[in-house]
Amino acid sequence: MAIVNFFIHVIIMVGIYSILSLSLNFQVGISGLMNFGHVAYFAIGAYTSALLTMAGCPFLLGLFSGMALAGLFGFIISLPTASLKADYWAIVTIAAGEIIRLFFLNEQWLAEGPFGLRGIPRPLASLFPENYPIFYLLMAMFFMAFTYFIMEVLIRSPFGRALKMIREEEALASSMGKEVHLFKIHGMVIGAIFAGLAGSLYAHYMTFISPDHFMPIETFLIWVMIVIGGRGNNIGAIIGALTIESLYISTRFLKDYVGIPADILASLRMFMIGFLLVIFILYKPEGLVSEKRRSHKIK
Amino acid sequence: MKNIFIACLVFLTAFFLIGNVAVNAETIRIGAIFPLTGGSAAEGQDEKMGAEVAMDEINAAGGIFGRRLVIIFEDDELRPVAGVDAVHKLIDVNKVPVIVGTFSSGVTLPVAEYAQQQGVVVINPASTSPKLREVGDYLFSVMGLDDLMGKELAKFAWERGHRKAAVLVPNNPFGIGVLENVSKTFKELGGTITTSVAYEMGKIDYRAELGRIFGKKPQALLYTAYGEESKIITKQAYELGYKAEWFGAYLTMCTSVSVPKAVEGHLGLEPGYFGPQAEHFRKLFMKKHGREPATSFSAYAYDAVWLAALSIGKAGLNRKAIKDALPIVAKHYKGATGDVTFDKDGQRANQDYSKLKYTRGKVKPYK
Amino acid sequence: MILTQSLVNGVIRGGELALLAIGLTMIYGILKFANFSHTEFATLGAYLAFMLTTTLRINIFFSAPIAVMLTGLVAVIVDKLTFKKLRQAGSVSLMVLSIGLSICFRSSIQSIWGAQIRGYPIDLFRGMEFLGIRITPIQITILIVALVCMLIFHLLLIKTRIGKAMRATSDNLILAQASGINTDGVIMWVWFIGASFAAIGGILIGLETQLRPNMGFAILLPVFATAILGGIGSVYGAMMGGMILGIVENIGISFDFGILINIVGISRPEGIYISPSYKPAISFAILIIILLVRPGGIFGKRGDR
Repeated sequence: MAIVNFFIHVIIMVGIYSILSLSLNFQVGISGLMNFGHVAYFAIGAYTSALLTMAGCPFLLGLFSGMALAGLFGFIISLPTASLKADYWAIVTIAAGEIIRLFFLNEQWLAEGPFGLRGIPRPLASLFPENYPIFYLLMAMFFMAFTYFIMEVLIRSPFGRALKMIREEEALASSMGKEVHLFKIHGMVIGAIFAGLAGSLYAHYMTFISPDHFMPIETFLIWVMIVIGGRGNNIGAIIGALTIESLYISTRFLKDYVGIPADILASLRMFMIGFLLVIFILYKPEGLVSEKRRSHKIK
Repeated sequence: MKNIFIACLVFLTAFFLIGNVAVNAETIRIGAIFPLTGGSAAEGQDEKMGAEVAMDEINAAGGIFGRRLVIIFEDDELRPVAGVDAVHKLIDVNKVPVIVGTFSSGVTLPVAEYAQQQGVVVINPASTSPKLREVGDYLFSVMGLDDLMGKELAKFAWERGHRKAAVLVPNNPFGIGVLENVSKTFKELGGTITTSVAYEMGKIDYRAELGRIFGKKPQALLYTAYGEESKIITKQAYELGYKAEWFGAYLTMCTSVSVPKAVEGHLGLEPGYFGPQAEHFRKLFMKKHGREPATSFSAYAYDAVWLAALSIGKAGLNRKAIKDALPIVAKHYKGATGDVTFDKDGQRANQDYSKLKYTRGKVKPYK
Repeated sequence: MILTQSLVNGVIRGGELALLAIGLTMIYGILKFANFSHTEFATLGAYLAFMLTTTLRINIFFSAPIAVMLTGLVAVIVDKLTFKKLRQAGSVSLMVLSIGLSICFRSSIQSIWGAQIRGYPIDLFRGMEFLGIRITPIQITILIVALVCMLIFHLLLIKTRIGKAMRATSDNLILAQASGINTDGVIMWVWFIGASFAAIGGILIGLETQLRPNMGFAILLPVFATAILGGIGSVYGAMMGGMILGIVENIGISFDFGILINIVGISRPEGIYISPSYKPAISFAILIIILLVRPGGIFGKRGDR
């Protein structure tokens, strides 16, 4: 049934957005890094993977290269800025993200500029001539689970605990001898790597990418996902992605029933996103799924 | 609490989807994806209005097989992801046999790719990227791809005696396509291009770009610009007192909302502006919407919807049959944008361009 | 000469940036958070003036001040309903809240007035030419209005009680409260004045170019760059920062870097320019450099992180 195709598409997008949400959550929710340029790592992962596979490299190589390069940029951006205040960091990261997008847009020799890259190869397409979307769905779900697993492990590790401490009480952490800057850089890089993973999955699914896929608004959408879902919480990140995607999709159907013109509906949809953000920050800042405060049982 | 919230969302989505599956036997539905919001909202809405004119005209003539034609409009927000969501909805859920759209090549490409996979015809009224040629046999373009417009514009300027020209276009596939064709032809004719600038869309100040162009004192400026930016560009050029002869590709779009004083005397080209069909379309548009079309994209969308309806009329609702019928139908159809015969790739084969001049608030034929 | 024209364009842009940055820097200095919705007040002011002028047919000279007042009022109300509730929360929560609000503002404006470009019903003037540059009456108005506003504000800060209260609150909120200053009242005035200035800036930008729903969002980062460049909390810094940024942006695009190479003996007749498409990147780059080198900005405290 064709309807199944629709659901498959939605779930693949939820999977990709979940990875983005999980990776941003690691930076924001766990490490307390106000990254507003997340879309840049998404773009780097997408373009790298696309360019390499179009030049003949195997998919996994493209994927890992995308992740590595995104991580590298995370490192480059966070290295000089690690000591800045949170809100300055936010501004710097938006600016950095835009510079990267402008670079892709204007340097046509790199990735065809505004024309974008078409014909990005689909991994293992020959093995699944029919029902390829189902294979892609499984692959997206696999990577989403993989990301979730890694995030969970990291959070529970000493490294993750240190990050949380830095997030809560930076002065205390540095007095305990933790190299705060180094940890922040690590947090940024890890988040960037997984955003690159999402980017690669996106590129190979859409088979076409161009700079207008990577506008600043995409970062804001992911922010809304983690705020609503619950910061510092991996399940929350996924719930947030699911919620926002569902809202987006179901409002598209609304106009078929109610006589709202499509253009007003789109503004209303954006308004709703902003409104949800405001309401949640004011009245339910911990999000739908609050971070479990683990108490240490003393035996 | 969270469980209830999620359950509601899932239920809501399911409700909408299931409700939509029931096909209304009294109407024939096709899909249309345009940028109704976002940076190109004016052009997208113009497309929608042109499509509506066609829809009304078809229904007034009895519809298709006596059934009413209904267009399901979707907004792509000028975002490729939204376009892909829209095409999935239209194909997987609404099950339309034909889709008209979109506007920006960046959105049309992924939309057409999915439709190609699913064997649904897409008729493109506005995108011009040469990459569209590679999509497949289910994508047809009413808008001329190879941008013969660029070539013709260069020739026009040359005929007017200009030998030094500058080029100004938007920084997207459409603009760069015009830029490349215009520059190539002008140079081949023997002229010099003093400067080329691809402007960022969506800004409200273009004085720096204008300064760069007019600093080299070109005799002519070969440009194309979407209505909103064109208004600012021409206004600021006027204020700054820059002088040159301006040649606009798609002149009606360039002058649609500009201040008349600022574009007085501008020359340019418009695809198939004159002719009984074009006049007929504009009359209908005026009657339905109370004003003239803002750009020629409405005329293209009008032709696209007509072609879709005629193909369905000839072939029925089978998608492959529609695909096969479309080129045949197009050969005989005289559209608002002229002769829309397709070439072997399903892209528009010819486009004749009318030379226009903007005087006293309107575009008139150039003599 | 193109460079002098760029200089003039830059100064005008600087005036616009300064008007918007004043309110932002004040709020940032007193309430200690980056208000991402500040430039939406400019959009709101511009559209309100538009509505008054076209729908109610009030002359622009009257509709502009009314729109400015209304916008100031909206800011005060918004603060009472939202920001005030989070006074004790971290700067991050406030920042995220402001982002949500900015989306709400922008989309409401778009649903009401549509996505297409709007303009004020004023005539078009060829710029007056002198000394090789062209400048229109509106641009001169912008400069005058910007200067007058800043002058008035300067006098307000220095000569009036409320001005002194503002300075005290900006320096040290707790101490100001302790000395009996009604800091809540001060904050209310800061919102009102800041938003009003932004509205003035928005109307001027609308007069000079035009109105679109995202006009505030498009100018957000340059305005932040201005405030940070000048030093958060410093109004004079905002003015200076605006000028510098406006001029650098415009000259940066018009300057032929080929001249530098010519000195070394290499010649490039078509010149070396920064592509205009990178114009926004100039303010971003300046922003990043300032934050790395001297985050306190020009008038801020050195090493203020």
